[in-house]
Amino acid sequence: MTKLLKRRLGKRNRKIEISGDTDRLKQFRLSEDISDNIMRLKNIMNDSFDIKSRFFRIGGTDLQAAVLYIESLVNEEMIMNHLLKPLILQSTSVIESGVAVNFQTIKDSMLSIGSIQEAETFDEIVLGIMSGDTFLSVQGYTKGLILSAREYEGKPFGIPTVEPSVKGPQEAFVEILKKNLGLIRKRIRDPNLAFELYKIGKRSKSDTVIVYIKGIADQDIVDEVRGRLSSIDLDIELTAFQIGRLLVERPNSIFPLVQTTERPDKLVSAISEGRVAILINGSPDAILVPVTFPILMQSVDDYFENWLVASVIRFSRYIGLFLSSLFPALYIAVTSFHPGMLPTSLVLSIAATRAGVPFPAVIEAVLMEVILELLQEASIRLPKAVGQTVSIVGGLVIGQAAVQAGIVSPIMVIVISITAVTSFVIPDYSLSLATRIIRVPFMVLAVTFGSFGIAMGMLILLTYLSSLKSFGIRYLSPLTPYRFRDWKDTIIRTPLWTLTKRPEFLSPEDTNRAGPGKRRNKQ
Amino acid sequence: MKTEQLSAPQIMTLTVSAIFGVDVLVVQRELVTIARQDAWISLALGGILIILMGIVCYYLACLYPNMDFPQIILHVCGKFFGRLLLLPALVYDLLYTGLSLRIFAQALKMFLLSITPMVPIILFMALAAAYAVYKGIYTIGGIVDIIFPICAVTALSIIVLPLRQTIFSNLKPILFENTGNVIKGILPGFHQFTGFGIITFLFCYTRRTKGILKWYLAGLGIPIFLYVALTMVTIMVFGPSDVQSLIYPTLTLAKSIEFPGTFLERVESFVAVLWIGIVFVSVVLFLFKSTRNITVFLGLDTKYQSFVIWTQIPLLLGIALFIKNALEVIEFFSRMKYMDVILGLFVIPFVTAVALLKKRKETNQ
Amino acid sequence: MKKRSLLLFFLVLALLTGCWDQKDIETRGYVLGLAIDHYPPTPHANEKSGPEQASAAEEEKKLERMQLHTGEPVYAMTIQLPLIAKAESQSDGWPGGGQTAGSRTWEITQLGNSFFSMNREMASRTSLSLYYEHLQVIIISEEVAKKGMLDILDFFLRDPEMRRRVKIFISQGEAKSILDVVPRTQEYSSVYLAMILTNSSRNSRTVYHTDLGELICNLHDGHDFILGKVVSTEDEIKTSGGAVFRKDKMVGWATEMEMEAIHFIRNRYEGGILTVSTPEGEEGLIALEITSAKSRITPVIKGDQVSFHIEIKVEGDYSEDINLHGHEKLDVAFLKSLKKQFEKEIRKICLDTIERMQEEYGADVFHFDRVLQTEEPAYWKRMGSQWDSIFPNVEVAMDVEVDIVLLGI
Repeated sequence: MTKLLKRRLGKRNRKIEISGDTDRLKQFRLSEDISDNIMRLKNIMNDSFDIKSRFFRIGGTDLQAAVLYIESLVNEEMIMNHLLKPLILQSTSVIESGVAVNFQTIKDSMLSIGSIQEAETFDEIVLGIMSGDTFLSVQGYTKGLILSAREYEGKPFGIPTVEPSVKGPQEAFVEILKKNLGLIRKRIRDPNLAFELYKIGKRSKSDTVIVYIKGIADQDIVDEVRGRLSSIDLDIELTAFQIGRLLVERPNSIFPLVQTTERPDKLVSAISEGRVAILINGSPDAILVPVTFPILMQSVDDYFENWLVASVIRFSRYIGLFLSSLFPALYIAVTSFHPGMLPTSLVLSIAATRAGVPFPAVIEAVLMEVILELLQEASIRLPKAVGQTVSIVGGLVIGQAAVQAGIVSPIMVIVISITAVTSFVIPDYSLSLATRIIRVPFMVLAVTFGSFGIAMGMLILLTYLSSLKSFGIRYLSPLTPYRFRDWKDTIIRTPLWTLTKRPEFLSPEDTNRAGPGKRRNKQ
Repeated sequence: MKTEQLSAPQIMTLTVSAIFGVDVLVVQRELVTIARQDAWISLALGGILIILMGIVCYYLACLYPNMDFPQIILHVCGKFFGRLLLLPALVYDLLYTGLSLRIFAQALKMFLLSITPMVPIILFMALAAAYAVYKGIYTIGGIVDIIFPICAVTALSIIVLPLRQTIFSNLKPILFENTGNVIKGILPGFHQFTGFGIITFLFCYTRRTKGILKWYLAGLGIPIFLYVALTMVTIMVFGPSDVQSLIYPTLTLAKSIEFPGTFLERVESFVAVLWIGIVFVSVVLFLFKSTRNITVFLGLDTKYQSFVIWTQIPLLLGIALFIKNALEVIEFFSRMKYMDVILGLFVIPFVTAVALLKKRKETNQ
Repeated sequence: MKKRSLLLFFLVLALLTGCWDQKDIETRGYVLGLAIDHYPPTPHANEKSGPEQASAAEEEKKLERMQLHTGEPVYAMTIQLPLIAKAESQSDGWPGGGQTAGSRTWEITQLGNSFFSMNREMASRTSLSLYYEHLQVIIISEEVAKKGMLDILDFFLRDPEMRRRVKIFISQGEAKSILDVVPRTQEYSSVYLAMILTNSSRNSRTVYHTDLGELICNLHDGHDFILGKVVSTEDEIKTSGGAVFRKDKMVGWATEMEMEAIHFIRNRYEGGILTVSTPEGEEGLIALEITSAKSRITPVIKGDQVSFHIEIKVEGDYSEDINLHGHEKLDVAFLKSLKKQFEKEIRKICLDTIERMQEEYGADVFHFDRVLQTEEPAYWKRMGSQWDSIFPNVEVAMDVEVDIVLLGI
């Protein structure tokens, strides 16, 4: 016994190496002496000043106990009222009734906190404390209790900033996982809604939750998600985006292979189609997998309007996508290589506007493209105070004045402006970034080979997109292979009463989502 | 994850894309030279023959559903004799790919890029096609699914838009003392649809649903219909004598479409750009066939397949640049397509017959 | 990694090799109109030659000449280029928007005997590279047309920049003078001329289809045909009537009325006016606006003889009457007799035209030979080679039917 004590005390004096892996702490166990426990624990956690401990006696007895918690993470009020108060003050009634005071009764009868867990090894305890739980050690027992009294500071829900919608619910996820899960649960009351918890990251051990609806989602996809999440080997992960990167088959793909969203309504409609969502504590975005290109071009607004209107708007998004990546290249190709394609009067007026410009069309295009990118980057970073300046500088000075000075032609300004604006019709931000990136290779191709270059570029891009897979589903489904049933909700959107089946390409287990299409009787 | 397979509608789109290629640019001239204003009849008759042969191909593919064409030949006819039969197919696919690239580059130079030398154009197209083949048949299926509607719309627009300028009487007199020529034109008509045998390469990758034959026949029927309509319109707009003087009748037809006042006054450049996609998929599919042929012929394992793909490129470049004169190339191209006639009318039925016998023997044992 | 470096290699290669076809839009010279004249030109009446202008003209002529491989220059090719205003410092801020004083076009003439070499030679005189894809019209002078079209057309057929829808006109007199006209509503006379034609659906006296494609088809098929005629004064251009071609040589002019007849017979009538005098023989005139006209030609074979039966069906609206002394005649009987009057008029015009074409020119511009080829191929096979001698003697019977539909308010 003394030897054991000596060994442990000896170890206590030596600084325990902080390793990133709390699993190494498994070997350490609680001792019966609470001061020893508390001191060792504090040591492991680097004696940070915000780790608080409180020693007390239970009831009127001699039984000593101690609590340990991190001040910034716990709800101190709850600890006071539901842990300390019952044990110190209110337990007297229990003791007087003759119940023996031991670990079991403390656990069962005296604490009024909702979630209690027993713990013996340091890895659980340390993880718990670091997550915001409170640790209770009772003198004379080698077991301790981990009690959950976490404080969830933060807004109850956010306002969507990246994915605004005109009419829909204006709720977005927040940084706290528990609140996010609540936002989901309040929309789906199906008991088949499944949440599975994982802890990702060796140092961060962030709570990560997989969300899906059992019976709809294809089990293969769910298994795949589970497998990939478990195999993430990283120290600290911060956001959904990084996890997203790690989950995909091709991390280097320019085009996003997972979809991220800050909207709970989008998440809910995605999982009801048979997709799987992943939420991480600390990140106000959810990852939705698998994803295909047409899915990325959909927006929640599409479902609020009449089908014809929605189809036209959706179709115009594709045109916007096309313009955003190809317009400068097309301009270069058509004016420099094939002016024969344009009507005569247009050719002459463009030539007239370009008459005094010193640069060839290519250089102009590249110049304007660079300036555009810089402006966009600057506008993201600017503090609100100087917000106006950039738009004035950008718009007036660079656009107007440059044209007046004869450095760029007005046509180029028009082309670049249209390009810039259309890049924002794409609902998914990552996708719009991708289209911005491919502008430049297309311009290069246009300069060397004219419209042949652009056509070949589009074919190569098509090949690339066609070979991409997200969790085993082809990126371009359901455009290819043809699944006629799924086309009702791809580029156009047919009336809601026709959308009775879930998308086939996701292989859902339950394909019917609405009763057999019945038109509402016209009144 | 489930294994990926081609779907039945993809058989249709792949077949259409294999057939629709560079031939469309030059098909009318050859046939009109032989059968004058009844060229479209020859073409239609050739098309019927294609459908018959297509059914034979399908049947052959069904006999050995897990092997593709070169594998079937070697399995059925033995290692030596099979290779002997495979050789003309191999050579043909390779020649066709190379010459397609060349004719395409020529036409492109005529209508879009006049000063760019041919080598970069051919090289660019060849590399892009190799990239697509390298990615695999399922990727190719995806590409083709997207390009197919563009194919069809382009072809339809070239057929429909010049209708304003057509003179129906150019088609007359119909079959006046011309039947002999029309019959002479059937074989050239047949080989315009080269590429119809692609089903034998694709069947092993397809999901076995019922109705594959139906989609395949649709895939044959669409190019036949479009080619015949195109030829009719060409004759109607230009007249049979004029067509013979045009090296690229289809593109010249596009040039003659007039839409005064609207934005696209000159439709032909627009059409030429869409054309690039059509030629691309046809080159990709033939390159795929050629790669499979070579891989099986040399007895290589499939992991060497990518090596085979890239080494074909210099070979293709050589084939493309071999003949210098533009007209000679087209003439050679037409003559070379007769090889496809031999392949389609003799080799394939022969192999099918032998395969049938072998199957009977196998089931009897 | 190997794949990556290969990709990079090709990328760099692509950038290094350069862009062969790339040419900025303002550095091309868009040839809008082309005029072909004979050289040396026949002297024309309104030549302004004072001593200063004569020497200037001499100078110009010097630049027009080029060294030829064989022979003397036979043709004078004039192209019309739009002048895109040079950049000047602008106070309102848009380069190229200000008007330069003077003309907005430039006509360059080049002498030579091969069009392609003339084209290239002009490149040595302009800073713009000539681009023909926007060519609107080609004007050929009477002289050149009379010598034969096949001789000069090859350049236009072979070059891919030329389009089949380029309009061709034959000018009475010098072709160049058409291009020199500065029209009032357009900047460029070539565009103006091409636009006149689009307006011509209201007027049956101009040729509707006078483009390169039409020309080529007819040349290859060996038919006779008509091309539009254009005349000009100092500041106006007019196109009406046509030039009659036999095989590929011009043989004469067709008057405006003859153009109408030809359109009727060839089923190409798109719209126009017909006037007749009133049935009672008063000095009044009545005009019919024809809204549709269809014709059908049927050959009638008797042994070796062929005659044609032409049926023409016309529908029109009563659009104007003049000098009827205010007689408002709205009764059906009057209309019936009017109808007969119109029919008679059309018959007369058509038969007269056919006769003239047969006797004076011997040119089958009505394409009776085509009708024979398509409807009676057996006869054509037998007698087709003698068509040139058969045509002038062919008999024509006509049936005309006119329907008056609308009468105005």
